[in-house]
Amino acid sequence: MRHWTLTYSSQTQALLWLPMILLALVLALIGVHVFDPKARRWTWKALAVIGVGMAVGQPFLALSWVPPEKYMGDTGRILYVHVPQVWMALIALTLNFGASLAFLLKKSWVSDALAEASAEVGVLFGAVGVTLGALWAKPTWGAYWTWDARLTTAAILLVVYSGYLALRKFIEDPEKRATWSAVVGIFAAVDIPVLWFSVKWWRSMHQTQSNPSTVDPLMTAVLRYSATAFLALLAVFIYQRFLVASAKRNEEVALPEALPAVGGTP
Amino acid sequence: MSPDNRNRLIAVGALLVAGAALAFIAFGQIGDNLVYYWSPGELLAQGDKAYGPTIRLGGMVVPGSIQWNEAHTGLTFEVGDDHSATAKKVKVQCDQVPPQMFREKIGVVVEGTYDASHFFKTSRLMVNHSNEYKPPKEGEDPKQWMKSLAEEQQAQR
Amino acid sequence: MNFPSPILAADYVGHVVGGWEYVQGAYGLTLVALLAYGAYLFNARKDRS
Repeated sequence: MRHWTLTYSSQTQALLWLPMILLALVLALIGVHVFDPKARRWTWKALAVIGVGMAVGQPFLALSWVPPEKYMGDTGRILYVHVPQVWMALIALTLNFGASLAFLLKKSWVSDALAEASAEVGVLFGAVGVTLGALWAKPTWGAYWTWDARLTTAAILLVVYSGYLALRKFIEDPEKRATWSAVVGIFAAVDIPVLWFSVKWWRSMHQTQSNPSTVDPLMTAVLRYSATAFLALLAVFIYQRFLVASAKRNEEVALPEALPAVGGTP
Repeated sequence: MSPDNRNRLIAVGALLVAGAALAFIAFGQIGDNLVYYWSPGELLAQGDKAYGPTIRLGGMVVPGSIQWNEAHTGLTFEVGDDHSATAKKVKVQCDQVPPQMFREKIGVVVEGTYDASHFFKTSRLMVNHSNEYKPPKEGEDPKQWMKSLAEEQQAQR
Repeated sequence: MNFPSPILAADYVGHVVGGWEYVQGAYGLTLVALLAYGAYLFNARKDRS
């Protein structure tokens, strides 16, 4: 049987800073990617290597290296995926808000493509995060789902942004699509701060946000590591999805005004 | 108006509407209509008006109040406003096996009905987890103490 | 260890949701979701370039 200890060796203590260094590295790469278009040929590849590399090590750290939770046991390990996945969803959807606003202020297919990419990736991470939350809730709370403020706002988030993606598919004219989805993107973003503060504003089943004083340092380190890994993957996903959306936009906008008659082959 | 200016106008309008909606949710006291559960004090303050409808009751499990009848999966315990001795308490009768986390002094939310018998009858008991995550103490293993408890109980039979 | 309630033990013996395999399943689900989306993006990029 393995024995857990609350006193760490100095080597372990030094290791606890590693996730923050990796996070700084990932943030720096994202910064270079955003501000230096010429670097984009390699920054996303570097992020992909870091993201995949860290994701491979993540199950080892989260399922084996870090101690189980005192009361929840191994079930508590869902923390290291559920929480970062939802964080990434919120980051992506906040980016969607920024891109939506940017499009309305200054028409650009870049911000429209970015809005499309961030919404889709945000819904992916959000759906995974909420599913993991439900799986975690069953053994700890005793129920997969309950309509408290946090879970309700999370459900609203997924429904609204799925609707946003459906709207994008539904409108064929690129310009109308970009404008109206930008408006919807701004309205939908109201739910992001409401979801975040729901556990503070209302009584809920879901616990309030943890912070390093309520989480053991080893667990905090693994949580930060996991978040960094997912952040790198999030950046790669959004960028790749952005390239797909941009290519599609270029095709659409390059189309001649008068479409060929029915039956015409492209 | 040029399309660019029209879009900017739309942006300002959308931001205003979104900001107003957010402010209304944050400061508009809609929380009063969005009560997820009642505390024992609030439930008791309702008097006989609380009898009948399905409601949620939330609070702390009072230490020493848990009684478990394994043969009939009958569980009774008291839910208090807080840990203090003077806290308002409500007796709860549950016909389900509670989740693993259930124990004294932990937060619970129960869904059910209250009536003149002054027992809150529920078949849905949920346990609140706090925002604290700690490893077991030196030498402890969560699985191990769950198992030892099971053995302890076997021995008692 | 002196635990206040025997109910926990009853539940543990009775029906367990959670635990090791369950957590592995949750991690597996995450992995599948991320891999599937990665594969979808890879294909979409290939089609467009």
